[in-house]
Parts: sequence; structure tokens; C-alpha cells
Amino acid sequence: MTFKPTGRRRLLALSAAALAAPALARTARADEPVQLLSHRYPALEFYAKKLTTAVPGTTVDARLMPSGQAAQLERIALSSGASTPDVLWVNSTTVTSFAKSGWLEPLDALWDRHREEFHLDDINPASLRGCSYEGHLYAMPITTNVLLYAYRADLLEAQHLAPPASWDDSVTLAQALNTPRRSGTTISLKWDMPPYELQSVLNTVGDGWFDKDWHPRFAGPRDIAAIALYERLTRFAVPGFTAQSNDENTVNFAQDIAATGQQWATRCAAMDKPETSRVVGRIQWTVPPGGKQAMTTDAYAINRRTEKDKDALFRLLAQALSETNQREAASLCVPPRRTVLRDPDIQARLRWYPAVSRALDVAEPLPALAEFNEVAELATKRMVQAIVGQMPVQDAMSAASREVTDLLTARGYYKS
Amino acid sequence: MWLFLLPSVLIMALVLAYPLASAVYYSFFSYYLGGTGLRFVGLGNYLGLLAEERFWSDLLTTVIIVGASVALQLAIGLALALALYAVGAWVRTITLLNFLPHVVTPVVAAIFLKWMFMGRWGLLDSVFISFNVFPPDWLGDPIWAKASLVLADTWRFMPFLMLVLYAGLQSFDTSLIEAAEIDGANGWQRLRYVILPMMKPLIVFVVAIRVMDAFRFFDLVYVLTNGGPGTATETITLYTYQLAFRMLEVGRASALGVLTLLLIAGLIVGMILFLQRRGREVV
Repeated sequence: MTFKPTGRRRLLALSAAALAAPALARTARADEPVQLLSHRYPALEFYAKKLTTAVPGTTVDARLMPSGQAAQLERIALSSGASTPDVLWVNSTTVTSFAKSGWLEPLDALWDRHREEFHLDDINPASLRGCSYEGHLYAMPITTNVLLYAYRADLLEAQHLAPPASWDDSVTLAQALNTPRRSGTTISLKWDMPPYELQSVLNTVGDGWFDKDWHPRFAGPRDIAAIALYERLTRFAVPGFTAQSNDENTVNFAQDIAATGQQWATRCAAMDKPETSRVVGRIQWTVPPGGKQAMTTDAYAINRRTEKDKDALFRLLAQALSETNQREAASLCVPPRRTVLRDPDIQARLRWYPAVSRALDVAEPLPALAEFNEVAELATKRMVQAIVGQMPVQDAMSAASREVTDLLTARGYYKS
Repeated sequence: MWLFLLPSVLIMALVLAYPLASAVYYSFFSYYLGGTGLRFVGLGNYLGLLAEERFWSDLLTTVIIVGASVALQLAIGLALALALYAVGAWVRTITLLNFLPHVVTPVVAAIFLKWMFMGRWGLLDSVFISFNVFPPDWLGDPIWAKASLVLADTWRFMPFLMLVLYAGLQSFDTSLIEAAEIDGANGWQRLRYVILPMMKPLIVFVVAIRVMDAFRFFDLVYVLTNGGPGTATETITLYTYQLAFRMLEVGRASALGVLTLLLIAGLIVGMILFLQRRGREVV
């Protein structure tokens, strides 16, 4: 029996309007401000500000909030068919989910039309991958964040050690550098972090997340070996790693509590701030062993149901993401424009940029599966259970495989 | 006269009855927020949850954490209430200081506690390590993570129990205690045979209130461990949140919400029946 959820949609639309007023309450008209709904952090605040002045005569009403809240509000608004926000923040994971639901405007035609005017070929293909779904582009990349392998160059030098060439080496290195007061490594496995933290080891030691038909590979021997290896690595990690995220990871490095570990490119600058860091100039970065590590793109997309002129919205975004603005924001985030990223002046000034350039070449976005958030929720919970010894690795990975298969079957996958 | 009640009834209907009815309604449907429609599944969501290993494991975790924290709160709260009753001096200052954790906004208190429990540079670790003692992994070890939550919950809610029990002690007829003293009862005998029996209904009442409240345990666990490591501290309410807002399974989350409501309602009925029976025994 199937019911048409008219009442639900009305209710959701009302909830969305009440929650996001005034950003979502008004029916958008051409002469009204462009409504922007975005996640908040310094780089996105910078670009939101630039958007408000990008095109003379066009006013932008920017609503910035924490990522979870923004994504939740976007989902409520878009699923209820609201025409606002006109422009919204997406990342590599939400873009696939929203695009699959048909909530985002495909940008391919607009991209082609304005390619030359805004030098769009300069945008890093890796960044565009994080804004695409099934071969179509749905968002304009603002920043591309990538995981690097950070290590204490002074400690390695003192012990005549080299950065690891494999994940096995990274365990050996962490063990060699581990002391009671300084852990060999720092790991972030707080609830939303495992997909990123485990991406490289699953892709290089293991066979990755899925086969080409979206069948999970977790129960295979290589994925099991990957999680078993990470379990060994955590023996030399800063305690509390299951409750730690990027902030705690940054503190672990900056307060001289960890010697190695993966670190997002946006956190590198904090290592060299004398007022908060005890390790100024002592951290070096390289590509995580084997590469294929996580990257994510923060981007702006256009609501498919917006009543604004979509060409004008695209031009607004392209204007704000100009080369000049990206140069200005280079210390806040990794710019998607290659001319900015590879600028020798910037590479010299921001000493982690050479590693960032190399890392972007080999990074791998999380699987472009619309249901990836739900998949990760199930699968990585089991992986963490294995890592902390709550379950044997093989049992945990089999359970992860079974649960993800059940979920994707319920979502309509695997139909012959 | 009834018209005066109308605004309250309308507000109650809007903020309580309607959401409850909606939750019950959606619990009978397969409703995925990323999908297009509702599909009637009858009791399917309930049966699915009851057949899940995770539901029972989360229920057990909830019972362990609630049981341990309420027991600890009662033991410390009762001891402090009796101490205050016996001492009689500085009561206001001590009560005020003790009550401070309870008035702090829950999420702020949880964040504060997280910075205390954080590995290596948290307050607890820093103190221990300064004496060259390396403490356990408070939030990363499955057993210690549960213990940390129990301690955190006790820190927040013990003052409430202490205050209610102390207020109860103040209202008792002291002639019974004086009579026991005249009859030669020592301190322990007065406590065991006079004070505690008098306090029993109050203790049951305050424990009932705390158990009902603790079953909705969310803010502390969300901020401190988020159910981790793995599912070691995942409570029923956290699982409901995960089903609704991470898995987007509104139908199953509604069913779990209704199940939790029934569980708590069962507890309340049990407590009320116990109190009524006690009341009849006293009469």
C-alpha cells in the first residue's frame, strides 16, 4: 500500500520556513536578495562575504551555521520543494545525495557557456570530481581539503628514520617514536571521522569500499587486513582517539603529544603559529602511504527550484571564486584554481603547499554513492568496534558487509 | 470556567499531542527522508527493531549506565543529605556550591567534562601525568567510557537528589528520632531503623524521577562519546537520533521513540504501584 505524502511535505515546508526564517520564509522573487545557506568556518565566511559584493546591484542574504545544522536544514527545505535557499553549501558527500534526489541544478551547460570568461579550465579536476554525480557537475568548488601525512621531522632525523612508504611502515614508525608522554601517532575516529581517517588504508592495504556494482568489499581478506593493521596502529595512538576529531588532532600535534598522523591541509597553518604551537617549524608533511587518501570539496550549488535567474546565480558564484579572491584566501584553505595552488610565491610562503599539490594528485574522494553517509554510519561503526576490540575484526567486517548490503538492497540497489 | 483552560489545552495539543500522534503514525510506515513516499508496513518497524541485536545491546547499555549512575547518585546524595542534616551549619553555602553543576547548561557541562576526560591533555590526565601516573583511556576504552559517563552524570545530577532528600529530612517528625535516642539506639541504629524507613517513600519517588529522566540520557553521551567507542556507550535515545538524523529513517526512529515511551511509561506505572502499595502498608 502506498500513500502520497502531501501532508508531510506541507508540514516539512512549514518546519523549514519556521527554522530558517527569514532565509527561507519568503518566496523568492527576482528583485529580492539571493538567499545563501552555508556551513560556517573562516574560509567559507570569507567567500560568503565576497559573494555579497561580487556583483554590483545583487544583494546576497547569507545564513551561515554549523555543518550538521546547515545540511539538515538544506535537506528539509529541498525535500519539501522550497525555492529557497537559492544557493547552498554542499560537500562531496551531500552533493551526491542532493543530486540524486533531483534537488540541484546541473551546471554543465552553464559551465561550458562561461568557461572562457571565468577561466574555468583552471579549476583542479580533483576538485570537480568532488562536485559531480554520475558524470554531471552540480556545484562550484570553493575549497578542496585533502589529508596529508604529518610527521615530526626533528624526531625522525634524530633516530635516522624516514617517512613511511607503506601503512605497515607507519605502524613501525609510530612504535619507534612512541613514548609515555608523546604518542607515536594521532588518530581521529570520532563518529563522523572514520570514513576519512580509514580511506587511505582501505584503498591501499584493502580493496576499497565497494566493487563497481556497489557491493561492499569489507568482508574480503584485504579489507580485513586493512582494519587489523589500523588496530595495531591505534596501540601507539593518543588515548581517546574514538572521541577525537580534527580539533583534538590539531592540539595533539601542536602540544607535542603526537609524532605522526594524518592531518587535513586546512590545519597545517596552526602548526606554525607560535602563540598556540610548541612545534613551530618541526612538522613536515607528505602524501599518506600509498596515497588514495580522503579529500573533500566544499562547494556552492544552485537550488533547482530557485525562482532566480540561474545564469545570474552562476555568474555570481564564478565572480566570487575569482583568482584574486582565491589568492587572498590561500592561507585559509586550499584553492581549487591550479594557478593559485602552484604559484611559487604561495608555495614558498605556505610551506605545506608542495605536499598539498602532490597529495591532491593522488587523493581519492569518498565513494560517490548518494547513500554514503548512511553506509558509513553502519560500516565504520563496525570497523571501530573491531579497532577497539569490541568485536573480532572478521566478525565486525562481515557484519558491516551484511548491514550495508541490506541497506542498499532496501534502497533499490542490486536489482537485475 | 473551562474556557480558561482552552489556551493551555491548545498549546499542549500542539506541542505534545500532535508530535506524539505523528510519531505513532509514522512508526507504522517505511519512511526514508531521502525517498519519495510512505509505505505502510504495519508493525514491521517494531518487529524489525525488536529483532535487532543493536536494539537489545543499546537497551542493556542504557540500563547499565542509568542503573549505575542513579545508584551512585543516591548513595552520595543520601550521604551528603544526612551529613548536612547532622551538621546543620553552613548548609546554604554547601548546598549552593553542590548545586552549581546542576544549573549549568547541559551541553556546556558536557563540553567542560569532555575537556576534563580528554586523553593526555585533559585536566584529569594532566594531573595524573604530573605525578608520573598514566591514567586509563577515559573515553576510548569501552569499560572506562561507560564509567566516565556514569561519573559525569553523577556530577551533574547528584546535587538534585541531595537537595530533595535533605528537604525531606527537614520535614520529618524529630520526636521519633529523639525517642530512639532515649531508648539507647546508637547512630547507625537510628539511621537503619528510624530515618531510612521514614525516608523510603521519598527515596523511591526521587529515584523514580531520576530513572525516568536518565532514560532520556542524550546530551552528555552525545558530546562525550557519541556512543563510542564503537557502540560501547550507545543508548536508546542516541540510537533514535542516529536513525532519524543520520540514517534518515524517520519511520524506524518513530517506532523506537514509541518503544522508549512505552518502556518509560512501564517504569512509571511500576513506581506508582510500588508507592501505592507502600502507602497502604503504612496506613
